[in-house]
Amino acid sequence: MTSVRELICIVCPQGCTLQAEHQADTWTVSGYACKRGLHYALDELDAPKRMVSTSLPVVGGEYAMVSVRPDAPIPKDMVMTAMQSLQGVSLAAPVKRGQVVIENWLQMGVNLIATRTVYKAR
Amino acid sequence: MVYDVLIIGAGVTGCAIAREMSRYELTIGVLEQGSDVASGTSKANSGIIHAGYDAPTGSLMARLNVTGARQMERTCQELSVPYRRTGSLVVSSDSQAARAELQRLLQQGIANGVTDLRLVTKEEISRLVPMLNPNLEVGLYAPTAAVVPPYELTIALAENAVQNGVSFLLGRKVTSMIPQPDALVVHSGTERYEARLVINAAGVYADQVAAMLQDRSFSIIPYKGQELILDKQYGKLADLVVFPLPTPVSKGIVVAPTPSGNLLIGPTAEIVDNPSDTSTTREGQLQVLDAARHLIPAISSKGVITSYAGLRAVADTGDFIIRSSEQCKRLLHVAGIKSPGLSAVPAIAEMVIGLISERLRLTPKNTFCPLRSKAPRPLEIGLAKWHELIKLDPAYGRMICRCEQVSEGEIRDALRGVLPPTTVDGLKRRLRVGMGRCQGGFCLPHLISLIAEYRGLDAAEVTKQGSGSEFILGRVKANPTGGDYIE
Amino acid sequence: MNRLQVELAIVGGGPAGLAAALGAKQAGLKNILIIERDAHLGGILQQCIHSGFGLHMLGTDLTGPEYAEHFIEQVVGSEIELMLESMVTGLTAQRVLTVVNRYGATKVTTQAVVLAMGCRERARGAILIPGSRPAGVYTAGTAQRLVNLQGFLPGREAVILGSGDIGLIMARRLVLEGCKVKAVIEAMPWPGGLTRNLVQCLHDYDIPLYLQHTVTAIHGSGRVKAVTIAQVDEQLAPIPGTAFDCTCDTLLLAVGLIPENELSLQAGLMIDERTGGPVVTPSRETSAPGIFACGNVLQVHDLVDSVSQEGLEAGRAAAAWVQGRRATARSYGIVPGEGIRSLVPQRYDYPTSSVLSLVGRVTHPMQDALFTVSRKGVCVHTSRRKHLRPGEMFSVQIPAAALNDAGDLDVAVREVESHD
Repeated sequence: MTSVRELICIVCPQGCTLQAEHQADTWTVSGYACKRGLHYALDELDAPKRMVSTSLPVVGGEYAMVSVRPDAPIPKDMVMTAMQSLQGVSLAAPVKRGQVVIENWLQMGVNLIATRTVYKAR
Repeated sequence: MVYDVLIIGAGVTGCAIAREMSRYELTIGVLEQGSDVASGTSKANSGIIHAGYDAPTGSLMARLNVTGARQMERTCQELSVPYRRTGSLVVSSDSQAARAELQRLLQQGIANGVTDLRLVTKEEISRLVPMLNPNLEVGLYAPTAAVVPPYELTIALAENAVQNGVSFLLGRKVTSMIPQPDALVVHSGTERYEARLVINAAGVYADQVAAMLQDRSFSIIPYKGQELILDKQYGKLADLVVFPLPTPVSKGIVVAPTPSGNLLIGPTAEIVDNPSDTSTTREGQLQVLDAARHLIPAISSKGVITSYAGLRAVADTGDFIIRSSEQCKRLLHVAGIKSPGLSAVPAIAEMVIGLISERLRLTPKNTFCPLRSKAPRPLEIGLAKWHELIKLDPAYGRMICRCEQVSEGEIRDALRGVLPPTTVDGLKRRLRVGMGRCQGGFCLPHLISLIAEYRGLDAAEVTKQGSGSEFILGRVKANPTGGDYIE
Repeated sequence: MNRLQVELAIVGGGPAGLAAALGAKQAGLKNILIIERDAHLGGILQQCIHSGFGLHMLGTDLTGPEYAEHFIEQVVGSEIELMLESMVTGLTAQRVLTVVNRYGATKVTTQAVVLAMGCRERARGAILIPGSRPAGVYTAGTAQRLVNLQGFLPGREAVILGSGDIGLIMARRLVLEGCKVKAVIEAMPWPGGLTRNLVQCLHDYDIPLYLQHTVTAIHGSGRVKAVTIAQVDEQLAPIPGTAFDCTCDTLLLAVGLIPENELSLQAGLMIDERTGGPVVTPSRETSAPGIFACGNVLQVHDLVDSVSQEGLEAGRAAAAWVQGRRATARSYGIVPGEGIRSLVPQRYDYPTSSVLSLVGRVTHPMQDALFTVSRKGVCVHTSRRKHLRPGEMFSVQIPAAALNDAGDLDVAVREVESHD
């Protein structure tokens, strides 16, 4: 049984269209202009990951919100679940850039970190 | 409580009448269905104060236009409203018919009492409007024409009326009227008002208001006018108002400078069925651009910052209708106030005073003050005075609207004013915030927050133009059940 | 009126202004002032909470706020002066600025000025979308600010007009916050944004992209109720009979950015119609001596990294000007031809001993393209590219050896036969 998939490489702006063929449990990739494209395709076919970011409310801060992201990309199929898990979560000022907001977020092996500094409101 | 006078409609007509009546010892109320004054026809008016040669001699329009236009500068001075005497020019390519038409307008203007009106040569035309299409070689020049900001004028009339004791009852649509022996009862939903005299200044709805008392003596045909506003970079293309030759239905699509330095082009003239249909169309926009480019070829769609449509209230009688209702002497119509209605408004208000003096005893009020107390506007006072103002109050140095350079202090003053806006559009019409080239892209979030703060609202309750036009439909990460709080 | 004298004033504390300040500092200037309208430095990066910043400049993938803080920390740690919540209301060709803030109005006299005001978004009026005027029509950047900085959702069901990067990023952002994005509409036959954003923002969430379509009407009286979408022809005019309605409560506009050049116009700077920004030399000096420009006020960039790079260079050039090292060479034009939508710089100095670096955008996507640079009809330089897209900036380096004679340069790009 052979299955074929087409991917668009997102590593660099060139955006190569990649063809991947699945046969006997292995993927054969073609269409990439550089090695990074091959690695992207293999990762994407095996266990695709995405970086996500959002904002959380801050209580008592100079800003209403603080932006956050995981410290490494998370499994693509976890993105919506991960976002929903943050409903109702808020932080107390001050928040420092890089501060871990949630350790081992949903047991995904990544920490959710703040991406900006929010001082206490004056 | 029984009002001496209730005015239906807080457009420029209703507000001018309210202000004029506030000179006398009367209890006056203004009922308006919108959430703010100037929220119908007046907000989309071209703002041109016509010299007065267009209307047929002997018509109410002709008489009131010429008189009103003469009074307008003083009215604007009293109310601190910008008034720019630009003059106007009717232009055409040269032909015998065109010359005859200009001659007719000239004679009509003279007969109407317009001063300084004259035909101009090709040389003078190109001196007056250097960017004009060179094929337009004959013209009629009216130096007395001017431009004003129509919504600002309406608001200023209303604010001055409030200062002199008039009550504005906003967000109240009149649903029925019942005559009684000594008063006319006006209902707005479940609310009930009584007045000795009611003025029907309901604009495109004036025939519906009349019909509430079985008065079907006129009907109003809404004529849609679509207009475009160009960036201030294009404002210098015309220093005066440029008209094509008039058509039987309108004065045509004009190019007009605005008091704020933009360029206005339009309006179209389209009959519509629905008196609330102020939508724009691609055809209308293209028609306006084509016609404007015929007058001034350098006009480009690239310069457009906004487009909108307004509805003229055209009466089937062809003239202004300013008289008592045959069905009920307590109802006075001020209807069919189409162009040149804005120009005529001071004279209309005076005429209405004359009419009500037959029915009410008018005692001048010695506390009346014709001057509007206006909060400081930094851009109007110059940099040195602006500096002093900031020294007294730093809020005037915190800029919120970049394009029109409006400070937080001015927004605060407006929100605490005598007739404070409740919506973002209301704030816009008072201060021009969000009316510049970015059209609120930068300042809208700040305006929402400031309105919420000063009116004690949640941001989600702040609207563009009244209930149902909220900006914010939810909160990021909101959880009605509480949720985690991470220290 | 307050008075202030500085060597260099930088208008704008976003990525371009921050880099310009650091560039000037590194070049030895002591007396540098950044004037910023907001209460915080960082400009638009503050609300760009997604990742993808810094890959070129810092060799790492950061979010906008992180990228901004990297520069802000260096600026705050130096002796660079800051005027925050301060708006420049005037600029003269003699480099005198008028600044208004809570302390009053200040005249700032300078030896050099770097303009780094960024850009604004095109709004509804600029593209003449007909219909009614309800609440719920936002530019994508305004919506981004509401969501990311203020925590407000501008709507629940959105249609997005424009497939530039901001439109794509906001499509994903709204979906992540539980909103529905019904469609992204693009008038051109190709998407406007970077390919990686197309994949990560639309494909990942099954958001349909309608190429060669536009929004032809907005419906609703209080709040947006629906929009009409129609196919467009090559002249971008709607094709009759192709219209359909799409219910939604929000329309986001991502229909282009316009450099904010009100001050440039006040100072009488020469403006390039194509970029919408000032005409500059390779050192990013405008037509007014001692006034430089960088970042999105000069040309709308695709990546913040190139904004920072341009800022650094403009800052260094402004420092050199203050230090008395001023170009004496005559300048000649660089004229965009076939296939070129915009080109910066628009002037170059002759004679010159350095490589002339051109950046710009093409008019349409190309495969196997060849840039040709010619002077008086004679080709002096060529350069090949495998792929070119209007959404991505190109750069062409012309060696000094090719600039061995005076005269305007003509630049063109066209597809050629592949040599593969």
